[in-house]
Amino acid sequence: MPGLYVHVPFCEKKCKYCSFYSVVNHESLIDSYLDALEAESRRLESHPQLKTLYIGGGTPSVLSLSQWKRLISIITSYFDTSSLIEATTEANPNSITNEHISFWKDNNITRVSLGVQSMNDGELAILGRIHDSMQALKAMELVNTSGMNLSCDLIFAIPGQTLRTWNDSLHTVMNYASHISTYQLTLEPDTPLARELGDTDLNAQGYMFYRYAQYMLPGKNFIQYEISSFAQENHECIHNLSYWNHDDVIALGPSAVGYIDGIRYTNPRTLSKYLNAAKKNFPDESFSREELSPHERKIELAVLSLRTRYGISRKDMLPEIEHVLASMPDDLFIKTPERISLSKRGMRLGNSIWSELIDL
Amino acid sequence: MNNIRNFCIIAHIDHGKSTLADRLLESTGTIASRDMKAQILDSLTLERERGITIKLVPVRMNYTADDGNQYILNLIDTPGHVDFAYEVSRSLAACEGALLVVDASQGVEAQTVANAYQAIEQGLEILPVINKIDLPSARPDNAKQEISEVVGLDASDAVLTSAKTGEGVHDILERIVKDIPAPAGNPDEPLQALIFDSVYDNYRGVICYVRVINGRIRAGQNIMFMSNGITYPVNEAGVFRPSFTPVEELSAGEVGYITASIKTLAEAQVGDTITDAANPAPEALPGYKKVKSVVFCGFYPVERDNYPQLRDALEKLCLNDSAVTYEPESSEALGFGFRCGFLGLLHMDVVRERLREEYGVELVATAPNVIYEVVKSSGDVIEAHRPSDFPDASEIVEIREPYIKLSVFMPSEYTGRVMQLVQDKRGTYKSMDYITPERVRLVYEMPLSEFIVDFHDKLKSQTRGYASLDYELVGLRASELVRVDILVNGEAADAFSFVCHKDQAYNRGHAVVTKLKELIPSQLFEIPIQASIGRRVIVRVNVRALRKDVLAKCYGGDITRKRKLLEKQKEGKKRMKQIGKVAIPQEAFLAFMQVDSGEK
Repeated sequence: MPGLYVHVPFCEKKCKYCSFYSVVNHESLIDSYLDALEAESRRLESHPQLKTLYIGGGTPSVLSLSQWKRLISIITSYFDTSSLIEATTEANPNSITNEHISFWKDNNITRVSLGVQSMNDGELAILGRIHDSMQALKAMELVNTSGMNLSCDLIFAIPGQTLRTWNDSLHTVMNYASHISTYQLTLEPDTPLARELGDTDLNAQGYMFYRYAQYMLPGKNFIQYEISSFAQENHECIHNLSYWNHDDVIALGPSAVGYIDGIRYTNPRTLSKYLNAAKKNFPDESFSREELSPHERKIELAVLSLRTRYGISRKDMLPEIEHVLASMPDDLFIKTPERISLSKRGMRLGNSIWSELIDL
Repeated sequence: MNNIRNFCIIAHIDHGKSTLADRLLESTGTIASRDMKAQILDSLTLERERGITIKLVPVRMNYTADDGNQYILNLIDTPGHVDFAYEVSRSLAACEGALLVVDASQGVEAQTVANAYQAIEQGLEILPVINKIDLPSARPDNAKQEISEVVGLDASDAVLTSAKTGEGVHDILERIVKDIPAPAGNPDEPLQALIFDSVYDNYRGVICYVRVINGRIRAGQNIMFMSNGITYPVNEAGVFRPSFTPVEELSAGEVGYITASIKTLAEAQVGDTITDAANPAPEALPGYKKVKSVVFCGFYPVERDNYPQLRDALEKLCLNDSAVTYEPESSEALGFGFRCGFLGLLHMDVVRERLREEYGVELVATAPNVIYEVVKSSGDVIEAHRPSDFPDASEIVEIREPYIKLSVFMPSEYTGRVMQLVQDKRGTYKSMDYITPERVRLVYEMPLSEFIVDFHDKLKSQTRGYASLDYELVGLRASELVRVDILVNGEAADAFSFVCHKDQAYNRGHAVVTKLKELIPSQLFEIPIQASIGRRVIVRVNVRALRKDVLAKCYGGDITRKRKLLEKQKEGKKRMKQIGKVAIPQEAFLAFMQVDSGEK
């Protein structure tokens, strides 16, 4: 059973660091977008039972209640959602309302991923977020009251951030969430923040924050099950795990990336291209495809598997991969007779390890 | 023969040799003024660009003197630089007299003295000439005094001239005729002609520049090179006016050239004697020796693909510079290239720039080094060109290295600093004397290896450019040298090992490992970098293990981009050289080799 990813490309305002595709001043476009989404769903060759659903963005919570109704009805009319084991929507602390919460709850959304980013208002201002820490608290309480699972995103290596403010943010969200994603602030090209900060090396600066999260969260029963993901037991994001397992994911919406039967495809990247493609009922050339050779696929899967605490099973492993891993220092790995996974230190040094596996 | 005068000009760089030569050509009508380019005899573009003269082409001038007689004046140039000391001696051997040109404001410089002494030793008549008297700072009387005190020549009747304005040039010509003796020698004796220079021409093969000492030489004659017994029929004999102009015959006392379809310069070496194959002279002219490279460095193409071009260019260049030696070598940082040998540092620079200017080859040059001689316990003596040639320390009885005798001339206020500099370079004091109350001559002996690294630059900066120097090789001396090996993560990294005096081993070892620590990026494990002599480690530093190399996000849309980033990261690492488990970037090798790309 595949997962389904729906990209909602609208935001109230773009954050200074964000390079994801989204548009602002969109009121008139949302209905055309939903029409196109329906057209895209209709033309899919198969409409299988879904295992997971993930509505991401952008900011899905900027859709009004009636737009949400339409979105959910598109999904349920084209896909069998009876076996869904997880349904997540992303949301922003300032656009989430009681109405959203009860609508999601009533429509079997099980999990809300909230873009908290920081509980420090100065840091939120640097990031160009439009919410403040009070709104974040209220939003977290709302989700908690509803009984849905809460995941919070937090960003580290923000200019001016200290271990103390990082600790405060972690501790606050820990009281509400069962899942925390920690992202290092990256300066993506052509974002306002990258222009402001020039070529600051945030990668090196991230060390202490990341290491601290690795130290502190497990003590509070948040297990690091992937490079950027910490969860209480049985609260891992199953949808995200499917990316790291090469499981099938159907993708809808502009710039969304899916993976079906070993082929990775990318939807038209901008809203206008997406709407144009919809007018022609999404001819094949509106998607860009990438098909890896079986060998390349194995290597990619090894790299992706090594992101998670489950690692890679020795019996699936290419001998050359095993050889390379064996040549590296032991403290990077946790090795069992069946599997090899990254240690905490290994997770901090992922790129240096994975890059050795590429091109084998 | 009585009307021939063969002479050369001895002068320090910048003291106006080329300009004076131009003026002589103009005054004798050898070149019409309208054809004059500035400094017409500098044939290499390089020389003109740098404003220094390696060697002028010879020239023959006709001059009607004030006594009404016609004279043939042959100006044979000597390269002004000590690198070419042997060639200087051969050029001097072709002359009976020399103009000793001294700048009226600068006074006598170190190289001038060395060359003047050589000329005196070879029995040449020296004509002191004080040049640049038009300059406001000219102090011709001081210059005269320096000539008499430093060189020991009576300069009271030195000709005062300004090559720039032409003042005094006529006096010089008259003095050449009057004071320089006509050549001796006998045109009827068996041929003896001295090769004082030879150049390669694409069409005619080797052109030998000769001074006929005895006998005659003409086209069609069978000649023999006395050092190797090779014979050739002469195609053409001629003189320099200054272009090559054939003549029927060159006879004793004359200066000119011959061509004989000679393929390589190696067959017609400077200093060899040409004789008549049918009627050979009983013995060769004295003083022939094969020149030997003393300074070595690696030349590598900037683009690795350009190796064949570099090889072809070197081959061609060696056709007209037989003093360059080369053999293929390869370097971990630079790929394939050549280890080249030179007469000295200037010679090295000249060759490098010629490769660039004339053959369009962009190259990188490694820091120069010398050849060591190693006496082994077996009694064998081997030459060691690079650190890896050194046998195990336990097999070494003695290491010898080339030494030079160094003279430095400078304003006396810099004496202390220069002495310190030379002592830091393992120099040993020989003598010090005051040329004038303001100027000092210091004489030291020091290892050539210390001299070639950066001595000249340091001397210039210590003396604000007011010092001049001269040196000569004085042979091999035993030194307490050691080979310092560099270990990266316990593995020997040959490219970084070096040879130095044992007292410097710690400091230099420290400098190398510290530099490597800066240049080797952090990796997955801690990397010890050690300097050792034999098994004894003398310095150790650690490159700290990498702490973090992950950016934390990778969902459906990120996977492909992420893979490309990892590929890029791997590419970067592939460009590094693996020593054991450690990847070492090219910059580390380059920094160690003190490579520069020829840009000054």
